[in-house]
Amino acid sequence: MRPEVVISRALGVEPGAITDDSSSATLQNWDSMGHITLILELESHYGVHFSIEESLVMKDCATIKQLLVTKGVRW
Amino acid sequence: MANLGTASVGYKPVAGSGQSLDLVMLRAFRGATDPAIKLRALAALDPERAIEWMLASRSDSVAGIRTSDGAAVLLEIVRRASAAGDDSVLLRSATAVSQQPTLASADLLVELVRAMDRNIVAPALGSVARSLVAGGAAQPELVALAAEAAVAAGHAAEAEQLITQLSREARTPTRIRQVQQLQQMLPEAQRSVRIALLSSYTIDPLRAWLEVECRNAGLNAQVYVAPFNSWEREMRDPGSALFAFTPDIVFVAAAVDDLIPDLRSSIGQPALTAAGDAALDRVLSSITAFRQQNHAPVVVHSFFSATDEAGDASGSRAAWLAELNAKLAAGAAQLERCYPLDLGEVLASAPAAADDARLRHLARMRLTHAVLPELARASVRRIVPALGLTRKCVVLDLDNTLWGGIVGEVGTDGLRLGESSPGSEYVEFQLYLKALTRKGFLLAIASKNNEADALDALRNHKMMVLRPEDFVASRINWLPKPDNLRSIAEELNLGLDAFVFVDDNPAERAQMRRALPQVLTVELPSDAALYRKALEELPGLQRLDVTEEDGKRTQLYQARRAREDARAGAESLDQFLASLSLVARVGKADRQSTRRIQQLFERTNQFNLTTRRYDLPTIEERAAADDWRVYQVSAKDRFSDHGLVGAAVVRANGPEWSIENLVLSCRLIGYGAETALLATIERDAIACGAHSLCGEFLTSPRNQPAREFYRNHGFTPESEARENTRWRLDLTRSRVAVPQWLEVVHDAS
Repeated sequence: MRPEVVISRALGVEPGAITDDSSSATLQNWDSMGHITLILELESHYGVHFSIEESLVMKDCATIKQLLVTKGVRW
Repeated sequence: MANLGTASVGYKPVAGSGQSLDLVMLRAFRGATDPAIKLRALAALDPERAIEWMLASRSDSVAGIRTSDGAAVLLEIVRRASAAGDDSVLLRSATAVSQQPTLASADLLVELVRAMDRNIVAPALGSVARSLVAGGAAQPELVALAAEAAVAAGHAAEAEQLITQLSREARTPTRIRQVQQLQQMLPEAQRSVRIALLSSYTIDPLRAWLEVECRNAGLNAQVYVAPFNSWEREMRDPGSALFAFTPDIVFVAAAVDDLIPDLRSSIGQPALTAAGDAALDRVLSSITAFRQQNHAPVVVHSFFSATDEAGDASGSRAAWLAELNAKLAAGAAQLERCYPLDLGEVLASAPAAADDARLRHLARMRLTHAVLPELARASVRRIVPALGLTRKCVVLDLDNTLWGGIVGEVGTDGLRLGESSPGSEYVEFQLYLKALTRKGFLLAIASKNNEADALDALRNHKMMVLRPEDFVASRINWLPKPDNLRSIAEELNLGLDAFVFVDDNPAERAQMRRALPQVLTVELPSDAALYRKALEELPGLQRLDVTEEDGKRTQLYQARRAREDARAGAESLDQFLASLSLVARVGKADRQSTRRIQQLFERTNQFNLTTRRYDLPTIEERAAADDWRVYQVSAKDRFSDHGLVGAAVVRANGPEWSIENLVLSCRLIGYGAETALLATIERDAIACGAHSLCGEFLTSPRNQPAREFYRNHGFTPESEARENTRWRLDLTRSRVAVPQWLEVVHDAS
């Protein structure tokens, strides 16, 4: 499943609403609790683990995709 | 269609595949004589045409395609179309499955659900999903689809059960949100509950699970989460948002790691003990302050800790924590309606550790999603009894429920029931049920057996824990179980929503759910060793307070049955009542009886004139006040002493006394205790110089048995409204008539 879909499900928004530019600044549901949900969903979906450092920088969709690539995730 | 198998076939090139592959397939198709191979080749060449061939071949034995081959090929087609994003083939496949359900497999449906738009899938595949799930398929996608279809077909009880099943598998926030969306399609829950969560750490994520588990228990939850770490302020300030929320129940989750930050380092004795006592005092004194202003029940989480003494293998910190929790439980028991919730038990039942160091630092979460479902369930096990929604009677099947095997086939001695396995699991289950009777629950039997066989087993099997006298009613016959349950409800004079139904047979459960949705039908696991756990976890079988009265309930109902039998033998009703030697003792509430009176007001639904509930402090306050009276009535007859069975709260000042509420245990309806109560109130009112006695009847869904109470005792209605009526008795003119067969004794006041 594409990261956009995982992100949209985690945040409870339409998949079409997620672009590379989507971030905690552009999406209302991407608040602090939404961010935790997002991290947990990405981890459980792709079987990866994010450190605190990574969790703090992954504030937009493009960064998340880059991080996933560095962890060897393909979609 | 049939000539497709032999003649040339027109086909469109498969998107994205090379011409050479098509040619190979074409040769395979033309050359093959085995229809299954032919079908596979055609599926690769032209999937839509292959689907048509499969559908047509159902009525064409010449094609000779086995159902299993068809289903396998269709799965291949769908997987390929899903990868290629071919919506047209997906749609054609979904339609084919809805036309020919034998082509469906659980894997196929899951694939379609994942690849297609829900709005298209749900109507086409819902009923197929329902039958697959009924046959044991448990993939979350299918269960969700089946639940949706059950709602659409008007089977709300089946949908509720499926959604509950789905919620048990949900472990992530996204999954629980899906469950919430499904629950929103269900009919609105009958009861609402306002839940406040107060915590020293981030507890917001519990909200979704709590809402879901409440709905599973038939409650519509409104949850207030207090601002981060504001729990002490919120409880102590009557102007806080907590008070404005008017909660029905409050949860206090203060983490000892937050209260004693030094726990992260080496703290050592005796500082540790002193710090623990100070933390305990903060929690208990906050609850005490809240209690002075608000009577909502408070559930306090026991202490748990994510930290351990550095390099300490002696276990002293665990011992300290256990001691602290013992003190917390003792302290809570001293407070009115304050109940501890053992977090240790909750954490132990969760599949993974509660603490995630990263989430603790990032979001100040101390309980992660690994334990939130268990915590929500444990919370609902406090909420349901706190609202007075505990069930009253467990109706049990016999064969493979109370014992292993079918008694009609193997006989009493052939049953699996004993100290070792197989059989010890049933003994354990029976011991649990026996313990329920000591907590005031009733047991009854609804079983399809020859009565003589079943009774022989119950009477004579050496290892039987439950004997015939442990059951207050039994229906051992071949009638439909919903009929039997209804007749048990009538016999015991209990509402259907007082019952829990336990049966190992899924068909019996489905029938009961459909016929009597008010009855709580337990989704019993297929493994008998898990029966006990399934019941232990039911919110409807929890009690927060057990009174002395509760332990005697089965005997009281047994006596009631003896009395009913005597009634059947008597010539007239009056003769029968006279034969009972009924004595009603009426007096004012005293210190020993206020808790039982409070419980009566809370638990009585049928003979309850206004359904006004009271908390204990209010009962105590009114019992002591000059302008109020709280009355109690006890009853006994030649069969048994029923104990305290009725109560009334009366405003007693001036020329007009007013009955605010009057309740009577449903066991005693029709035996005159209510008349004795009213006659005593009247006598006191006259003695105090009152001229009239008033009371209201407020209709509830359950209190029809009390509707004519005032009319039957000579009161006149002041308004003719059907639902709610105010009644008056002019004390200068009429008197409440006490029947001849009833002896009324007045306690000295």
